[in-house]
Amino acid sequence: MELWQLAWLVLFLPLASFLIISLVTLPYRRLSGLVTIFGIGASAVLSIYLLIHVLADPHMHAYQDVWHWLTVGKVQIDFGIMVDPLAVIMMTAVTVVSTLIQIYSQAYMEDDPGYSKFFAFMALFTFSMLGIVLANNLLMIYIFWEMVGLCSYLLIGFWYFKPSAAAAAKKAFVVTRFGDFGFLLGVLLLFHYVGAFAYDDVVRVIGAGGIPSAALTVCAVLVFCGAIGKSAQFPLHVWLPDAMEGPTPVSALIHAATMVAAGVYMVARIYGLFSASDQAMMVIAYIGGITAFLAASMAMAQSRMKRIVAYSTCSHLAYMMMALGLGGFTAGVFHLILHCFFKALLFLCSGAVMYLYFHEENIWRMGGLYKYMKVTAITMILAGLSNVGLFPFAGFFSKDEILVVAKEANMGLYILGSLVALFTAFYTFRLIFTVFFGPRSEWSPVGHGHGHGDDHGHHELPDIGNVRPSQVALMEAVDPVARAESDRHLKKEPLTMTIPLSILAVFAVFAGFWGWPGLENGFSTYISWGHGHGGEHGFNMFVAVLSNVIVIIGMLAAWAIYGKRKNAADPLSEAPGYKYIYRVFERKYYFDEIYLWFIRKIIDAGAAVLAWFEENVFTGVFANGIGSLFMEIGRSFRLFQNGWVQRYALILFLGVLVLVAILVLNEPGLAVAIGGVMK
Amino acid sequence: MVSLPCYFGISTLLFTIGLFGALTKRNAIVVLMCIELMLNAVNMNLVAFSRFMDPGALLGHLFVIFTIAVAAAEVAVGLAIVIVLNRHRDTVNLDDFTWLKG
Amino acid sequence: MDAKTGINIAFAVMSVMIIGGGLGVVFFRNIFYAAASMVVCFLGVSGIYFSLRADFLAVMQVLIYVGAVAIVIAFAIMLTRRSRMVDTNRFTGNLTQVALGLLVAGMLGGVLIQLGINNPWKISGEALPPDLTRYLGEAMMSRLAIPFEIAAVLLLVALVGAVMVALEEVHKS
Repeated sequence: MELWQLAWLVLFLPLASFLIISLVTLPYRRLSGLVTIFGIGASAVLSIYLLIHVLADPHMHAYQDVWHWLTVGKVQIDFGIMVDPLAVIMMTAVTVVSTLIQIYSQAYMEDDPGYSKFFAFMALFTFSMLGIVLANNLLMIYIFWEMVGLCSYLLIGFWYFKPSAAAAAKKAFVVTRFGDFGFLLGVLLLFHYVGAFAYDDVVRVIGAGGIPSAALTVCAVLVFCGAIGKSAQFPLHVWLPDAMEGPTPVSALIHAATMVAAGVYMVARIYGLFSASDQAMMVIAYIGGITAFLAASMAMAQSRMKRIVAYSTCSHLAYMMMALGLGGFTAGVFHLILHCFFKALLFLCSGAVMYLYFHEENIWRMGGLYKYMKVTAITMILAGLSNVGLFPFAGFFSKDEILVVAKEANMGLYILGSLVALFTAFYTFRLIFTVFFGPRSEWSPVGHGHGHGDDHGHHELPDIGNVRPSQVALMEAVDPVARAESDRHLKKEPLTMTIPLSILAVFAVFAGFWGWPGLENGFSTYISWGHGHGGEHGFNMFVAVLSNVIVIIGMLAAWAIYGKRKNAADPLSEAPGYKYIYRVFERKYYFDEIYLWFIRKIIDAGAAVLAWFEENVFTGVFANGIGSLFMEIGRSFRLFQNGWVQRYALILFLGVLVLVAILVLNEPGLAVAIGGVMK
Repeated sequence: MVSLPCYFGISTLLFTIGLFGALTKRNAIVVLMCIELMLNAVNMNLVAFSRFMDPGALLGHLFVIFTIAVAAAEVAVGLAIVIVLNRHRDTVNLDDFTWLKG
Repeated sequence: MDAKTGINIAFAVMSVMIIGGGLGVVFFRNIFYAAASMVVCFLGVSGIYFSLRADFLAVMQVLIYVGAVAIVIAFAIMLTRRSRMVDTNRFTGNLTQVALGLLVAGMLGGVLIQLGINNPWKISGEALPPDLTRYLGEAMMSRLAIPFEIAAVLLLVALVGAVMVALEEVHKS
């Protein structure tokens, strides 16, 4: 067996876990968890093994192993894997992050009645994601793409009894469907020109000029639609924040580290298609730039912990898209890989805080939590530093490369990117300062039951949403006895959480050094497109220093506003002048409202017209009209069915007579012929 | 020796009479009897034709033996059904058996 | 009176029996007379078989039709009609059906006769097998063994089926 065929094993071990859990171990909770952990863990070990071999051979050829699936006419459809450095690195990232998240989930999901089901879905999801990573043709990637969508739906709606979760699952599924529709059209259009699905064939035909350039642009943009949906890019980004209704490990694995990365990965995987069309590349770059800005600005005014991180994810994915669109293949992919680690960590830390803090999500009900959860706080700060891209944390290296590429290619997008970096630093540390430092909120789930609240004349705090300073009293009003009572109920950090967090933190801090510019056998040696960016030269000092200065400014601003706040409320929400902009950010630029208005007014009006048409034309004329026509015919024919057997016999013999007449009239020599046959 | 068309004429006449009776008689037993007449007409034809056109192999003769067997079975089952119908409806009048009308 | 005349006379007698019997089945108003005339018709057919040298079939015809079928029909008549037999064999009340039946049967017969009588049938001059009954018996036991067995099974099934259908329902208590 060839070494690279192990990739099949990597692909199918998670599927095996899924099958074992759903068919055998569903009633045994602990066992189900272990099956998933060992299944995906084995995949991770094999991936790392393969990665070591990839690293040993910087110039390996892409290995393909194809299993013939079916033949339709002249078209042969294959089920094959393609193993090259890009696939192996991504595969390693997916399986390692997934394994750590499974371990973490042991604690996070401990009380959940759907524990086994959860692990089954997670295994199925990992299988689907690995399918996308390893696929060697467009049809296969589309199939796994949809499977990933399905798993996402199942896991967002995992707590399906919550109406908000059910609605979020539906929203995610429907919104991504718009993109997937474009993806499918793109794949079919490409197939029309190429006659095959395999990446190699597509790239070969494009290289030979087999596709007219206009059609190529249309194909590329349509395929990119899939990435817009899956990677939550503008204008289909609205589903990602709502997807945070799922359990936090799901958010970490699917909506930060892997599935949403599938869009970016797909663009990188079929880069030959996109890079052949300048217009498509422009579309990708600008969509990326716009999304990065929108998402980062929205993240600055959110109140729910996971949503802030979700918008951050959105913004980072857009950053990668921008890099890929500007030709920064290496930079985009590098950011994709590093982002897997630090964003998963950020999510898991958020989840840990919620897990330890009464499953509360609103950051304005927290504050000063550092002393209760030190490991979580430290790892989250490390993840945050990586997230904002401060030297020497991992995020810096990839972000720096992206900015270098942007500066060379498009000054406007470079400025936009720098602005996004500022926003990123601000919202990341707004989150960290609000949650871990500063005064504690007066809110306490335990205190409420002790007659503490209404009689003191406090305002009821909103369940979700930002707290305005005018809504809360100063901290002195908090009853210290109730506070202590509440704190005693805080859980301790379990090992199953701190270990994965620590491991991910190591990646989040140090993984970036692999991409040190000019490093021998660095990241760009393995992942590059054409002549490749980076690698040959060192840092662009101007860009590097400027980006660090911007980040530090953002962090200082966050400290000034949130680190030194007086009470558990967002000072900016009532800052003169700024509060209107704040309102726009908080309400997410009213995208949901606009979409809903659009759906209600335009679509419903269109639907009403169609409904009228359907009712009167289709139902009235076609369905009922044709139906009653045949009913009338049937009614008249029914008269023959009088149940009288002799009339039937009569008609039968009448038929015989007619047949004989026809035969005789058509063939006068029939009788003679009969005589001949008899002879 | 009597010629083939004579036999043919006799059998066709019998068949026609049987058919007319089967189509128009009211009593189910008589209808069955008429069907027997038709079968006999066919049998006569088979025997006559095989005698005149195929005296070496006589397949018609052999076929008639099977026809008789099938006819006997048909009479047995048919009459059994008539008896059951009579038991349930107290009539063998085919005009009354129109339950299957649409 | 030579042999040929004798054969012709015999054929004429048998024709009268057949046609008369057939018409009797249709036109007698007493069902019992109809059954009796059917027997006459069957006997005529048996005679025709004799004239065609099909001795075995002629005997079979008498045994099965005259002996068995006619008896069964007589039983059926008895079982379904326990009172007087007067006016038991009538045409259907629907005159259209009678007219159409006459028309269809007549036209079909006319067409058949038209086709059959004027057709130059190719008469074979071959001789019959010397022992015709032996020939038929051997054919049934060798070449046609499987159809023969199937016919046997068919008869068995029909017999059992007829008994099952006609069986009085036993009241379960």
